[in-house]
Amino acid sequence: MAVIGHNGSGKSTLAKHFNALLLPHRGSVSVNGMDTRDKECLWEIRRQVGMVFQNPDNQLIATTVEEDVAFGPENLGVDPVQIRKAVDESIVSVGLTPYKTRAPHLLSGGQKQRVAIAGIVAMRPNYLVLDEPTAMLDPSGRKEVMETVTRLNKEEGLTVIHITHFMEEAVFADRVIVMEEGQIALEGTPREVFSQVEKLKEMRLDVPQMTELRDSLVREGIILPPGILTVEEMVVALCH
Amino acid sequence: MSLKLEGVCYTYQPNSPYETPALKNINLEIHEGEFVGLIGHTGSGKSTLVQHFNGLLKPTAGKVTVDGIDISAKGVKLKEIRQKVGLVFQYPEHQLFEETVFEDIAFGPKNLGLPQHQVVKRVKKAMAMVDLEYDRFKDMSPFILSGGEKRRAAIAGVLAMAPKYLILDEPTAGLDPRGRDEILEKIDHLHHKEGITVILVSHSMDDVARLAQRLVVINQGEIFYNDRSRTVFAAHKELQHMGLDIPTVTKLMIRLKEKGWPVRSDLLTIEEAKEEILKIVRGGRTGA
Repeated sequence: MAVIGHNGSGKSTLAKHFNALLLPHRGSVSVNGMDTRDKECLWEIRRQVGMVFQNPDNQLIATTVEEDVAFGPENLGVDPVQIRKAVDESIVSVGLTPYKTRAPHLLSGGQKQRVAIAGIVAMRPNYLVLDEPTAMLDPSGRKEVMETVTRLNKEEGLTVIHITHFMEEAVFADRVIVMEEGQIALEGTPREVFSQVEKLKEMRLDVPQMTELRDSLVREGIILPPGILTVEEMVVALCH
Repeated sequence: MSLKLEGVCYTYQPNSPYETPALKNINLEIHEGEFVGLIGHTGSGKSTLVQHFNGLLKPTAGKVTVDGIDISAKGVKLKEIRQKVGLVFQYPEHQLFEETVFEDIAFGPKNLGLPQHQVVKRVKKAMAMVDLEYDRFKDMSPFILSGGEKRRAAIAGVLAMAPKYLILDEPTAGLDPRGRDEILEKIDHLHHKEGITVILVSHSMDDVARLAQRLVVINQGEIFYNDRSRTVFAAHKELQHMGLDIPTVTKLMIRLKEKGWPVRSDLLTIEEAKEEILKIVRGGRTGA
């Protein structure tokens, strides 16, 4: 699932409710049946719901990649043999095996974020919450992180909640929610959400370029199916 | 009048085992009034390059001239060069430090030794240029502003020096869509209305395609392309090989061409793509 919306729209505040970093003033949040207000469940909730933040430099602590990834499971008191296994597996799953013994601060931004993700994955979570993980990365770093996240979701079945300002990243989600002034303003599949060009523009959010082009062609009387999001979809629609 | 780099080379930690050549024989001229986009992969040398324009880095070899003045020459006051060539770093809001927005923006002009009424005038004008209302923001702490406002305040600090050339290193990084739009709109305005020469370093091809007249592509410390945006993006295969993207619209037109549509593939904006597609569809040629 992707969450989009402006700064100050409540996206990050929402995300922090998922693992009890914040508790609701009213209402309740439950994680697999555990109420986030229940202090007894706190550690289990945080293990199940891992979070990765925007700035990769603020999240890395150890002197080598594997030590950094091991930090989480070590703190959970996992058996050392199991830790070794979890660390190795999660480093493989983010594709950083050649960098295992490197110092994290010498890696690129995209690699650093993948180390942070591996650190979460090593705790065997059910949910991965990413709060603008690509905002400070260059295009190739963004691509690396997105590919890693997509793979974890599709192949390892990890549920991903991805907060982003980049609409082209949200296009590939199963579901998108748009936050505005602390409320859910729109919700649906990317196609349903992004086809509401006028509404998105009113909120001054970006519309995928192909969706915008589709709308302006339709205004000129060209018949095109609604909900075009990508270049490929536009090519198919035009060549139909 | 121009910024000119001739045969500029720059090596980090020369004569040491860590010697890294960052720029290799750069020849580049930015004329007054231009809007130039500078693109390149992380580590390509972009940031090293822009720091040469105002003398923050001195070339290991070659010459940098600002309006005809060799900035490495004896007796040249770098202070004057830096007043002429304003450099906005990445995440400039990290450099905000004063107690109020006014004081922060006034820091530069005050250091120029301008009298107080001139300083106030400069601050007011700079704030107007970035759309920060003077009376509302002047006494606020810069640290309570939103991300986009902080960044605009930081840019105003550079504008208050009244630079002729303005270099911005990824001014929209990390901002939300509205913040991005606002900053780009302001930069476009500075170029068109205030006549400031702009060099925009950016990772967003859609943005530079829309704004810049000329593009300079740098890869591994060398200039690969230095041409009109349209011409540069036509070399999409080479750009992608360097790990650079091309504008979404250009991608579409290339794909349509591959499908046999007789379209131009050097288009950059949605408006251009619309016109081109309409021409074909209305002309009765709907492709395959």
